[in-house]
Amino acid sequence: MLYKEWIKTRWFYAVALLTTFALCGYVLLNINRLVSLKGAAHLWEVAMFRDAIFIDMLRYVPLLVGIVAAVVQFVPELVHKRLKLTMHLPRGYVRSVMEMLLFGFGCLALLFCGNLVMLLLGLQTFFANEIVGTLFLLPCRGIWQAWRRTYLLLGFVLNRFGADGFSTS
Amino acid sequence: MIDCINLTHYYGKRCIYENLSFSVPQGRILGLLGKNGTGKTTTINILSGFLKPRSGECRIFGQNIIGMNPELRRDIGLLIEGHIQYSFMTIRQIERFYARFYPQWDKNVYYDLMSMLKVAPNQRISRMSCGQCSQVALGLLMAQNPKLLILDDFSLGLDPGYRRLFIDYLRDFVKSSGKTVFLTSHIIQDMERLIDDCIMMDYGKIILQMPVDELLGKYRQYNFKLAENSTLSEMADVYHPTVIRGNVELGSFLDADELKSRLVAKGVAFEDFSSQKVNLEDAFIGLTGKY
Repeated sequence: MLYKEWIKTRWFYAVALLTTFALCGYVLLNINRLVSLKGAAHLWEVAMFRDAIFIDMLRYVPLLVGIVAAVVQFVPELVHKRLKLTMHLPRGYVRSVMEMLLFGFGCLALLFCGNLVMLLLGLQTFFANEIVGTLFLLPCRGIWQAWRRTYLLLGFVLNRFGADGFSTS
Repeated sequence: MIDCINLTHYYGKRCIYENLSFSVPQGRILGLLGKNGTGKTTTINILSGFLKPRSGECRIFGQNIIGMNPELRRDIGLLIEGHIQYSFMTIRQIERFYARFYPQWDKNVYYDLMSMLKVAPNQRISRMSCGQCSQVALGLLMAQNPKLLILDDFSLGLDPGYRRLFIDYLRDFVKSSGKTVFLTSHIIQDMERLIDDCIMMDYGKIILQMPVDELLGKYRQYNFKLAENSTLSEMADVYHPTVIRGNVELGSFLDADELKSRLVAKGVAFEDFSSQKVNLEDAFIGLTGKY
């Protein structure tokens, strides 16, 4: 099952990896530019006393990636009632769907962990650990949203819709 | 191998059929024939466990398909209408994917068939023609080597050459290894080359289930001309008589002498009486009507 999911989604995850790393790199370059223009002390002050977070352009990236991941993974299963193929495999249907969801969950986890590590290392060159911790609350919340609300929910809904679709054919 | 007992199914308030019962003996190829909308795909969906009938039960290998052990599906090969497969995979990838699910998988059978298509192993299925896709689907079924094959409208989208190729390969595979097949197709000429038994469905019921040889041996199409002022009245054992400008065409399992004597008994005056054997398609149209 994981082999099938990997074949289906590998190009999406390759593109998502490059895009999200590029966005993280862009954010870090922006911060670096601000440090050069206004000095690190000013940035620290703004971060501590005005709650500036500098990486807010990444706010909706996990959400968007989650939506596209669900579409890329589950829409091909539903087109032409292809889900029947998965349902006919000699194993429990719930197990198959759970494996598909876990695959996407794991890939997104790896992708965003990579993003977080890159941001963590980058931000640590500009800010103290305490400020980095505060700045990280935002992307962590965004990632949680992508996992919980988007991917799992959309995946479940699409599968439910696909299974119900047969009863009206 | 398959036993369906008193199946009843509705879509909303629309009755598809009530108390439908049939069985498929082991080692036979049974074709389900019916007009559009008579419930062929519904029956396949019920047999595949995708659809729960409103009442009745369907048993495969002696087990009710509702709650059937998923591992038993190893012995059931399913061809979905339109030869649907995972089109994002290549010929090689799809073989590798399925091989892990089926212990008796025979990849040589699959690659032998693929070599005839003259396509590269890394060709994506989405870029193949409908005919080539049908061969991929057939190759996967043959490699799976199931005891029972369920084929939903296997001829959909195929040109005559690919239909013939599909049927010849399938028939050879099935007959050489004693498989049981339950299939539907909207092209009945194809069925005649393939099936041993047929079930003919009309809206809501089964008209007949019998071996094709017996059907073609007994069923006749009769033509005659009504004498002036003579009319054709209702008759038992006669299917869908049509009268056009006094020329009558009807089908029946009665022999010619029996039909003539019944016509005479009914007071029907006729001339130019002729009877002829028909092929499966004509028998189907004769038994179900043109409309």
